[in-house]
Amino acid sequence: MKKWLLLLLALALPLTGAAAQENTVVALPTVAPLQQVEASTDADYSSAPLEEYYNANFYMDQEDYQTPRMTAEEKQRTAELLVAYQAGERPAENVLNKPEDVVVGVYTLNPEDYEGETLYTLLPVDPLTDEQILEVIDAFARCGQTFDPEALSYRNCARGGGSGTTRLHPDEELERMDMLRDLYIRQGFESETPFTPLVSDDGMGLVTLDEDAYCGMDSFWFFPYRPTTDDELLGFVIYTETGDPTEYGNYAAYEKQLRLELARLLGAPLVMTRDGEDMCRMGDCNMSYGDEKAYYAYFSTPDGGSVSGYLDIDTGKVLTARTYKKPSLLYSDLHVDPNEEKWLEIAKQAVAEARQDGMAITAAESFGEVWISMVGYGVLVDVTMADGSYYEVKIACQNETVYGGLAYCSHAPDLEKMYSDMVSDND
Amino acid sequence: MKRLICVLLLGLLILPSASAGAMGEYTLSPFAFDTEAMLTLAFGDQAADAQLNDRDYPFYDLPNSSGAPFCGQNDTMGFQQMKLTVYTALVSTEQYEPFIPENIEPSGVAKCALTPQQALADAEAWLAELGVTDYALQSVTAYGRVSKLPGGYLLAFGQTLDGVPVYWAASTHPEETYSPAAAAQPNRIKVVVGDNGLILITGWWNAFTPTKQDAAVISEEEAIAAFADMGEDAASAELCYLLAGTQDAPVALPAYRSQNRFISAEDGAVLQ
Repeated sequence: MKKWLLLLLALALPLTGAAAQENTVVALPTVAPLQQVEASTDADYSSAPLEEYYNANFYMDQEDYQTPRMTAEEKQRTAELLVAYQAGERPAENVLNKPEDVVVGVYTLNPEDYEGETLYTLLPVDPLTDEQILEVIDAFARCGQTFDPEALSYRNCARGGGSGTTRLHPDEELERMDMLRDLYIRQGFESETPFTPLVSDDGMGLVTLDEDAYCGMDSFWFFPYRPTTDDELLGFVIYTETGDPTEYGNYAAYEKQLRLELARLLGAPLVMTRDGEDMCRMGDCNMSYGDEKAYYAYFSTPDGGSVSGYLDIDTGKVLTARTYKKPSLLYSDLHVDPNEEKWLEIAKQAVAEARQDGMAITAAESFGEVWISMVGYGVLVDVTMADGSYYEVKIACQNETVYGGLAYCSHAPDLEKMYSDMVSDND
Repeated sequence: MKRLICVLLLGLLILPSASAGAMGEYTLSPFAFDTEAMLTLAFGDQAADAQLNDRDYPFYDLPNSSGAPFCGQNDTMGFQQMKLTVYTALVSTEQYEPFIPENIEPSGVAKCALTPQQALADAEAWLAELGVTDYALQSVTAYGRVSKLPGGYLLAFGQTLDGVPVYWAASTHPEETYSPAAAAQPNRIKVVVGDNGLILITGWWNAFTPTKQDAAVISEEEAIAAFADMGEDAASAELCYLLAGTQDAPVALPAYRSQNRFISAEDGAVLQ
């Protein structure tokens, strides 16, 4: 589910420029979420941005590409199977509103939610079998309709991999999701009408997919072709939230401690906007760690940078953290000797300036030349502190300054664990 | 220890760049590495068995082989560059891993019998066999910090022209480019070597044909002044060649460099 959300967010990003709008957020009541839709922005809630996205990225691999159509050969067989259906042939399975493990599915829609569309069809990436085509024909017939493959479009069909949703999220919807998630986790807000997977009851829905049939996608989300209400969106947020509800009441304290630690370790400013948070088992995020239970949050700083960190909630100490701000550098073809002493001095100075508690630096070591995406080459230096923690510092060759920011780890990497699957000739 | 090794090694090869002679302007073409040497380095005593693979550039492997050893010279990637690839059989039998940062030996000394000095001597001998003569040592990196991985050295050599380094202009590496064919690659050769011998050689190289010779160049002091006029506070300026132009017709222009800014070495005009 998380994978799906990330994909959805990523897909929304390329369209933000094209669908520039005023970020109007619908105000929440103080006691219960609204049910009525507030005046919308000029954001596009139709399937058109999704279609535009795929049309502009026609070169994508098949597994990333959604194609809401049948092949000519399948259309030909559909015509034959329609005749067979009328003669009494029936599929073994009814796929109308099939909720789980979907290979082929047809879903009833409220036309007012979907610009007049009444049925939505999900088709697998592989060539359709006669039985699967018959299933589609049968589902349409159960709704009193005759299936027409020529009518398939992004408005009423998805096929294959890529985006597992009926439409993309405009910026304002993404921002409301963030705000609503915050209200749910930090304030305990609940939706008046909880999310239900069936799309026909309220315009929003979810089905789980046979991953093999949909290029690894495990679910498909129905979002109406209209602005969602705050309550609908809150229901969605609650349904998709994967955090531990018993920890939500502690998030504020965790965040405060993380901010204090980020200031101490990286010189992070107090004024930062929290952009996201979650909890995890640290070993799942970084192979050098184990079962530490960690609170994770990332922030944006007033100067356009970002800061993030994982806080061990049992010790109150940061496990890993980093700052980042993209410098505006051109590509450079310059290569240097990464073993020169000056790189160590630059790295040590950067750490000393960032560190607010005056902890002593015990070592600085060069780990050679590193590629810095789009900028050219740099030198990677590890700066070790008196408590065994260390900082990774990348220095751009071209201007001999720290590139991006600092990365902090509370202990040295466990190389044997990280490369445990490597086998040497001596083994 | 590491500092001493590097100073000694670099001192051997950097000296030529300090005494640049006449400069000129050049067009670029793919450098032709010595094919026989390439085959011998890749396949050793099996060189005679090497066969041309079905590609649009010379690429050799062994019959019924699906991996290393193999080698090739690819001139189809643009910017008139030749991409050299020499993978020996050791690539298949050793987990050499010199490109993982965690596997770098910060001490500069790899856990193997081979010394950095011998690694350099070996690498230079192989370059000579391949017909590569105009270069400067850029770095020697020891690897094998992960206990399960074998140790060795990665040596990087940058191409020189008229005794000075060459740099591709930023314009030949567009920001939104993800296809290697659309971006010029650094003119450098990387040699990876361990106790069992050569592991691999990879790199990109050009040949240069003069279109203008004996060009008079401004002094470093004048270059520093020109950089100052651009707002660049340069303590020194490096004489070099800037490789610019198009993917089909790149050229080498005499230049001075300060960080990532370049001016013409002839008249101080801003190049980048």
